[in-house]
Amino acid sequence: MSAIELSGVSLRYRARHGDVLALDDVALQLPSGSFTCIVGASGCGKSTLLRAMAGLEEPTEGAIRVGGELVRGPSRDRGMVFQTSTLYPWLRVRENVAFGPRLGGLPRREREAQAIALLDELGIGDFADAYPGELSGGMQQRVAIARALATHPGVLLMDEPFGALDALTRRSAQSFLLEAWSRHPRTIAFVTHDIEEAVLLADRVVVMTPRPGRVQALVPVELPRPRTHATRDEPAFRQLVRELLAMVLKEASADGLVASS
Amino acid sequence: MSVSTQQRSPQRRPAPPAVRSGRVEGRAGRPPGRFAPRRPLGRRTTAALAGLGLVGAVAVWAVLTYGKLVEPFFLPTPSATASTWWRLVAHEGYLGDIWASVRRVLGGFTLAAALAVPLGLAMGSIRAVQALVEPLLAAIRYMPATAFIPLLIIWLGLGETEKLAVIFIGAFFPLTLMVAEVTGNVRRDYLQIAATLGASSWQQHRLVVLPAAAPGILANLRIAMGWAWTYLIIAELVAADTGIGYRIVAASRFLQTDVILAGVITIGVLGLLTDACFRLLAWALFRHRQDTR
Repeated sequence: MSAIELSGVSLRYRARHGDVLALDDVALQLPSGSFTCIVGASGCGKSTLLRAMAGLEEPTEGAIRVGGELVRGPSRDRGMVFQTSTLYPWLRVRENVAFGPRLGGLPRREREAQAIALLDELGIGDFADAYPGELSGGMQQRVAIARALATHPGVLLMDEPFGALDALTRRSAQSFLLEAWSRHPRTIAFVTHDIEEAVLLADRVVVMTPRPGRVQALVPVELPRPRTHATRDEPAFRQLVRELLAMVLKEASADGLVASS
Repeated sequence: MSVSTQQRSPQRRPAPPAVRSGRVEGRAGRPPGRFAPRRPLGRRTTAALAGLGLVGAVAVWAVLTYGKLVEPFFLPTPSATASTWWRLVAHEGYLGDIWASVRRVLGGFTLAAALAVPLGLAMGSIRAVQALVEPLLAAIRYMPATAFIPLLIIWLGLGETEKLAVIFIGAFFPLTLMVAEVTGNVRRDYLQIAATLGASSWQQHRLVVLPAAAPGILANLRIAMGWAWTYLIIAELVAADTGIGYRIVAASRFLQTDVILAGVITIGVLGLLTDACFRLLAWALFRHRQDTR
């Protein structure tokens, strides 16, 4: 596990109508082993922030350190899960999960045995021989999480991993992630636009505001773990969701994205 | 403009135009028509229609010829064409010509594919290679391969090398660009995920780009095979002493329309067979895959 530190991170990219400041002087500390959700209206730079942590985007200014080391590019120490399925359709589930170890040169027999053990542990071992195209969207995302865990990264970066799932599938995927995280503790940064999801999962919620992308607030979630979907009914949960929603909506309406009531 | 519109507007409002909504269906909704776009068709109907198309074409041919609507000199009857084909195969060494043509097509196609696939892969995923090669290939692509034939005859003579060169030129340039296109369309997030799992550049090329692009590359090879047959026949029509194309030209000198027709149909059947091989290969290799895009 490694802590993530961002200091003075700005990211500017050229668009057709002049420069866009996607991230403006972002400073954040994600403690080792913590679960941080990043929420905000669309266009607030939350995905860009995550991709910068992954090393897929290079900040124009500032530094990102993971485990004390400066991020220069993607690394197997920082696993990533995207919103759309990125499982390789030409590989079986176990081969997809074994893909990272394969890159590291582990022999087939060993890496696939490891992959199957991991899938079994996560309760999705039945699908080891299937091709991704045969799985439901929710199952594909679970396998993608398993694939990211298979290289034992210190950090797991998730970009709206359940954003394309229907509400019911999303709930079971969330339970799956909490269960996986308790078995494989990692520093997690999780981008979502679903505030209930953020409060259910996170130790801390980072609220971002758009144009330019800035951190507006860092809200601790002090609900006890383990959390289940029953947690959603607790008054403290509802209260926190209301507060965060007001924060995000206020920013969105000030920006003209949502009509203020 | 707005001023003149205001001036022209009449004092009295004109009567509202009659409602023109065409045929109006009731609340029950419009059931899909027989020819609604992409309306599914049953297996039996599909097979029956496919058969009808083939049989129908032969039937038209039969009516025109047996019905004496067309001079047999211009269009021989199906049975005459079939017996000519059999005569060619049994007594005139036609199988040798077929083999000569097949050999040339396979040779020229293999040569073109062997160079076009790696080059196209490199062009599609390495920007430097793309910048270097693409403008050149794009220009050559529009130079007709057939126009090179006189030059190739001068350079290479009338032998097999010249035939292979014509097919190569005809297939290589467009195939390279098509492979590059397929490769360039490999999902970027596939590569990004590989990078976060620790893939080196070479591993990304070998383990992600290549398998991701493979079905598209095979589909393009199948199309390129069709071009190879076309250019083969052109090469054989211009200068050859064996091959199906040669037999067609030789027959035209003696106005043997039945031999010409037999040649054309032979090429059609061979094309169909190679196409079936490609489809079988694609099925065997990629039947599990359901690429999501």
